[in-house]
Amino acid sequence: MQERLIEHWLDNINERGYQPAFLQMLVGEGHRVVHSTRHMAIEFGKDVVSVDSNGVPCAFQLKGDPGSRLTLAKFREMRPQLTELVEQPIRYPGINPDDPHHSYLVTNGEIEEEVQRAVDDMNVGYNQRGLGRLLLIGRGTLLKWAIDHASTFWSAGFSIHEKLIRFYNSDGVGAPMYDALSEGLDEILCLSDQTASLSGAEFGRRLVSASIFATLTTRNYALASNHVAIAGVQAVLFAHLAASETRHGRSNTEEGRAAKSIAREAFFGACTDLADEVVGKLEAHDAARPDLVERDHNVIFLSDGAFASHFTWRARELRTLSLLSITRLQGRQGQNSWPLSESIATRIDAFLEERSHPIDLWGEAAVPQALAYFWRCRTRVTNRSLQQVISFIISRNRPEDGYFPDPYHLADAALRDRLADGLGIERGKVKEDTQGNASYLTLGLFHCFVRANLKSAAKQLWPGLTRMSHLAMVPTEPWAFGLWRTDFGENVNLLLKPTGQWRNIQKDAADIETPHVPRGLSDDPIMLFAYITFAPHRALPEVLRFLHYEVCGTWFLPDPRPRSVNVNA
Amino acid sequence: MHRESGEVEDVEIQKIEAGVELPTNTLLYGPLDDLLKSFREIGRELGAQQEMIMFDTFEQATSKTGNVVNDKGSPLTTDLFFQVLETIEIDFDGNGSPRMPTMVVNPAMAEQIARLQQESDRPDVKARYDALMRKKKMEWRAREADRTLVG
Repeated sequence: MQERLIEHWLDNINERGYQPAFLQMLVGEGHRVVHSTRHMAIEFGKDVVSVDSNGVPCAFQLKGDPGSRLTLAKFREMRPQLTELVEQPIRYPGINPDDPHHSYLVTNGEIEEEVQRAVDDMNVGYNQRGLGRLLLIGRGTLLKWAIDHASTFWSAGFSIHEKLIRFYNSDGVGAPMYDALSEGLDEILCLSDQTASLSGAEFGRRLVSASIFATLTTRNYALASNHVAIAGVQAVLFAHLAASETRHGRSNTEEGRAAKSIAREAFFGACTDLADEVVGKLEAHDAARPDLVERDHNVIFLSDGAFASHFTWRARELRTLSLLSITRLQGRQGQNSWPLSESIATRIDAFLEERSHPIDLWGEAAVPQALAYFWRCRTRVTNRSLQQVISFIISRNRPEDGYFPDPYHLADAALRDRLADGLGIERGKVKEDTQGNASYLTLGLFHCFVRANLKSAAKQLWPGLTRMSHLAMVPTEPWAFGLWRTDFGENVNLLLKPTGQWRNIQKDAADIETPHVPRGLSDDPIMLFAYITFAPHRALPEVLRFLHYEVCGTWFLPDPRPRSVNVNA
Repeated sequence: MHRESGEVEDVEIQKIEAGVELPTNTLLYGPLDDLLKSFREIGRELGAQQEMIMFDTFEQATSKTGNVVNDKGSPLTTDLFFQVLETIEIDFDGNGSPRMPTMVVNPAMAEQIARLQQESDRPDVKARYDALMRKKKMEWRAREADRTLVG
């Protein structure tokens, strides 16, 4: 069964879709992946650069021939790139360009015999010139590697298979089934299983197995070019990998770093694909309507007819803005960290700046997305936006019958709840499930706002805060933070004292520790931010305070701005 | 639960369960109505258990705070009713109207309350009610005025 499931994936995916899993397989084969250039212009034909277990540098070019064959004609077309792959030295920090390297052409299709013959002929020439050989990795090898590295730790029962079948049957256009993904990762990584104790070798192999499982779940999203879903799966995978490091006491291992790095790259790969799509739509829009002084932003996000999308395009817009903003924040991290090409980055920056219509906060789950957009730049507007968000949530929690969809309800459910009366559709259970006069995020947001030292504005917000219950699901173990749902936690309901002491609140606001977050996640604030935009129920007050400190940075508190952060287990 | 007073109270999640027995034949071949009836029984049983937990929680909370009016089985009178209202914190809406609490009573008590309602037009009862609401409003205003940041 598991072979068939992997085969089904491999035969239906393009090279972008299988690249993250391929990288994990390479790690499983003992390689150290040093570079992956999926979304940049290919650097001398090299999509992936690694160092194998013997210390030999390896360069890979990936091709997608799903369900078909690599023919001689196709091979001839790609010959200039292959020449570069073999003949141009690998120029990368830590690799001596004078060392001969192995070159690999990778395809998920069958390789025709004529192609193998042509490669043999080319290798004779390369050999005479003292160059390394060109090697082929075809469908058979990929399938064997995937089976070897993925399914070893899939339980004998049906649970992982059943989840993959569910993913394979999804239409690929909606949000992924994060709960099913998380359950599968939990099982493979032995997170909730209290009896599990992993050796170092098994820990590393399970990371690879879990990562390949996650990539397999993205098959239909990749086919539907659902970049947001792919980004979501990789962000959730990253959180589980970090959780696994904490759970098994193996922080900062090479295996952990490699697995997280590949998930991170895949996340930003999807963000970059999204940026490319947005820029493409902007260009099409501008070409079609050169007369418009301002862009008609909803056109960018309408996908299935104006009327059908009319009620939902702003939720799609916010989701897109959040991912583009996180990509923008990543670009601030320094050299070699900007995932976008300069021309795309410039267009995206202008796009983020030019929009002026209000953000649609459809529920508390939308708040982390809005924060990513607000905090992408440090301006006065950031504080005002924060104030408006807090004020809006308070206003939605009217004492009579107010409620605002809690962060456990994602966009589909929250919009259904909002639009049910107008559209005559079934309402769902958001109102029943959401505790009125309560909020999960407002207290954390308020602490962030307090750091701006706008005391009179804070005083205006305070009475509303004291009328609400402030809820949180606090994990009893930091690793449980990475799970979509967990039994390892306590529901906290906090009622504020009506009279608050400004100095005490400033002290609370100065706290940037994250004791309930796995270290591997808090060490990478950008990925933590990405994770809570997909898992908003994990946006604990401590997480919001920490991210505000790391990303936004406003700090006008009497307590000195901390230098070192996040001392946790 | 972290209360306004700073007191922290642990609330255990409680398990509720219910079941019905059905002959295999009914389950496999019986009329749908019989099946639905059994589901309703389960629902009622689960609801009753939830209700019990809710009232137990109320009782524990009120016993702890002393917010209890015990009529020792005597019939409900206007005096007693006002005594109950006295113990309850009442909020007011933007128009200044009280947000009256919901009372949960048994059927016998409901009859007595219905009887008392007939007396609510009596001038002395009305005056007492108005006075109580004025007092409640003052208390509410004081509570709202306390909702502030100081220092």
